[in-house]
Amino acid sequence: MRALVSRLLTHSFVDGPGNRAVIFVQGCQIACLYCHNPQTQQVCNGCGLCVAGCPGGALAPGAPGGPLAWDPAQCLGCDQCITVCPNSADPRALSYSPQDLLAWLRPLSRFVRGVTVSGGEPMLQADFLAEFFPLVHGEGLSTMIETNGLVEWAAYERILPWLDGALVDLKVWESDRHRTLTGMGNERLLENLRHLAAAGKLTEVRMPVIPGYSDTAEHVRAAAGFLAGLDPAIPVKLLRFRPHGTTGPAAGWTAPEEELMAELVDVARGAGLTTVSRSR
Amino acid sequence: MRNPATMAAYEDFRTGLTADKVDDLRNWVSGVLRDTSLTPDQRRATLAAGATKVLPHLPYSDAAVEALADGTVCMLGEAPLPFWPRYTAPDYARLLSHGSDYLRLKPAGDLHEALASLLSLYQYSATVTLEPVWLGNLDTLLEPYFDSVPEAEARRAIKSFWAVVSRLFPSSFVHANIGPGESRVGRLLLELDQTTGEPINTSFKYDPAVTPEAFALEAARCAMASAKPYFHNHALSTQDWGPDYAIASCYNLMPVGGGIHTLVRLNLGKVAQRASSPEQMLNETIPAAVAWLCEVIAARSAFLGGESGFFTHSFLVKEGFLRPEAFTAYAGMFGLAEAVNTLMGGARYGKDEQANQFAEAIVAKVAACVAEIPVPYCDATGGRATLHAQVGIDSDAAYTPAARIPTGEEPDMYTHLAVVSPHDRWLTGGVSNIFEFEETAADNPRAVLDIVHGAFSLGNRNLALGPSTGGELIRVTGYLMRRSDLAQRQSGEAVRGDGALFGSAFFVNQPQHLHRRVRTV
Repeated sequence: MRALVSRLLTHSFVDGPGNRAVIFVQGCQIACLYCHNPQTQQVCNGCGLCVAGCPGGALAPGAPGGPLAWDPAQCLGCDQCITVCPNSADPRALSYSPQDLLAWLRPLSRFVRGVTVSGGEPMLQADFLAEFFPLVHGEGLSTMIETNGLVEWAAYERILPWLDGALVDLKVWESDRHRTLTGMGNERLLENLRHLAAAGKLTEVRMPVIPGYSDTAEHVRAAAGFLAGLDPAIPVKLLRFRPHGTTGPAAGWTAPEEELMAELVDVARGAGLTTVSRSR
Repeated sequence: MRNPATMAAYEDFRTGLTADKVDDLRNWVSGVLRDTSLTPDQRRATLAAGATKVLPHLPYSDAAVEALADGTVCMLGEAPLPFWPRYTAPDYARLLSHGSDYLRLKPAGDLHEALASLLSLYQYSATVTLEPVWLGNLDTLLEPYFDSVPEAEARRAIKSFWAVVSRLFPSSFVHANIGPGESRVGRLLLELDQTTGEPINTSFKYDPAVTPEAFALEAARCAMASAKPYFHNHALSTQDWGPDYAIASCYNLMPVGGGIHTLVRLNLGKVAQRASSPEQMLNETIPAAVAWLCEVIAARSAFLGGESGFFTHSFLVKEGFLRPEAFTAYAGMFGLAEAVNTLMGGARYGKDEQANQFAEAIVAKVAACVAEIPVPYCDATGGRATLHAQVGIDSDAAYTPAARIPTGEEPDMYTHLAVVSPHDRWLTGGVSNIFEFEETAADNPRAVLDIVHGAFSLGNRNLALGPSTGGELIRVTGYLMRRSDLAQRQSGEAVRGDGALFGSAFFVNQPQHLHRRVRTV
């Protein structure tokens, strides 16, 4: 198996416990209105529309039907290819084998306590993870995923023996509004949260506070109450929406005020959660 | 004390003050005593230091004097004839258990008496700054007294003590140690540092195999809030010094009950200018320069150890707070980056593998040469001086502090640590590197510890970690100071802390050394 990877990060303090190496995979099955990395949603189909306009001459046609060839040495990092692409896909995602990524990870191992696979949606590449994670454990490092929770449970089950924890988004409590924001209802997410909590693999639940979708006390009370019913000690983090880096309508939304964030933390605690924090 | 590295017009290594320079001396004295940018105390200290410089230096060889004159070898504000040690680490445990005849102090019976005894002895520390450079392992010293009074009273007393120390000794060179074990006093000091922000250096002797994780996490949280404590590799320094060592002043190591006679520095950048190739630097230039350096160190140690009478007359020695056999002297070094970059023909320290290897070879060679030259009164380190990576002073201008990678050329964090850490095994007299993190690091202290563990596994001895946004406390090369003191100093007003004087001068003379790469997390 191979993974399609948009970016490798040698250290991160914000993708799970401790210092972690992060693998951002390419491809996501939903399209959140506020997505901060929309170029990771679609996978390049090799159409070649971006090749001619590449100012560095870094892109070239690849094998028929396959992805484009990309030369990192020529790439200016201008992102024009993404702008040109009708799917806003990034043609620069690279394919890696589990051994490739292990070779990348090994020299970092004295500084990190594990690897987090983020995205994109990592569970769309669950077969790859099922091969890669045992190798990571072999290095004495831990494995985490950052997931939207919207992939069928069978995929999670496949990697569960080698998964140390999942960081899961609970974006919107009402399923209809969840669909409006992301393109999918949240029934499968809630089911997967139940399964992950029961398996003791729910490391953190992130609740983004999105204006008009999830920024009311009623919303937080309901979602937090559900989570507290699974396990009151689940670490829950309220993430303050930031318009910076978003495209489309979300770029015009405003970040929630400090006071509101503080109030919502209190609401979540009031709903029975014992470990609630919020982003700065 | 004003800029101690610059010679006043009346000074002369060979002759001291001569008749034709008396007017220069008068002008200098006249200027200092009218200098409104100094407090009266600072004017007095400056005048006293200036007075010692009317004497000639000890009789060094012509080659050593030439090296002193052009700055290849340089001193840091010490008198031509040293009459007390540069740094001391008095045995405060002995003070608390035995009291002091000279100070008419009985053994401490409770926490209040212990704190009063410490404050009393601090006043008599006998160091180059006239202030204590080491406050003791405060947690192990005070923990046995913590239950001698009700807990709330103990906490109040230690809080007041911390505030008083900061106000009595605002020099930036005052340094407390905690760890490696957990204690209520250690926790309280970390708590105070996160809330009150006193500019007192604190080093955390950290050994992941010994220190409880919860305590280490608290130290990491504190560092991200207030740029201290510094994480010190306890296992490594215990190997070099035994379990009873002190981290004083600007990350200076010495035995408890001992001290450092003198600190004389080698400017490796200037040493390199005397060489025409890396091979010549290693085989000829360094051995010659270290010989001049150690000649100066040896003469000064001999004077202090003998003729000055310090060790025969000081109550600190007579009463066993300082032991002559626990003393040594520092062979300081700085400007490693410039040494490497001068001779590598384009390859840069921190960036190119070949340059990094040369840097390591330089440090190893300097250490080997220092280890060959006998220095009297250095019983703590086998009759040899001890290598110390010195953090610099504003007049160094074109030279990077210690063995650091120049600001602006820092590679990614892992590479940076991999380049500098292997040097530290030779830098037994102390070393530090500074890493500043984005503010979100405060939310993940475990990640900070992961970085520390990785660095220690590479042989790193000492890490100064802090927030890039900075709180009220900021770190300028080796100096810890208050941001508001710095602003006050820059507006021309007198400030209490000498550290702000030195730090402010740093901002003027070498701002390029201040804006470190912020580590995104």
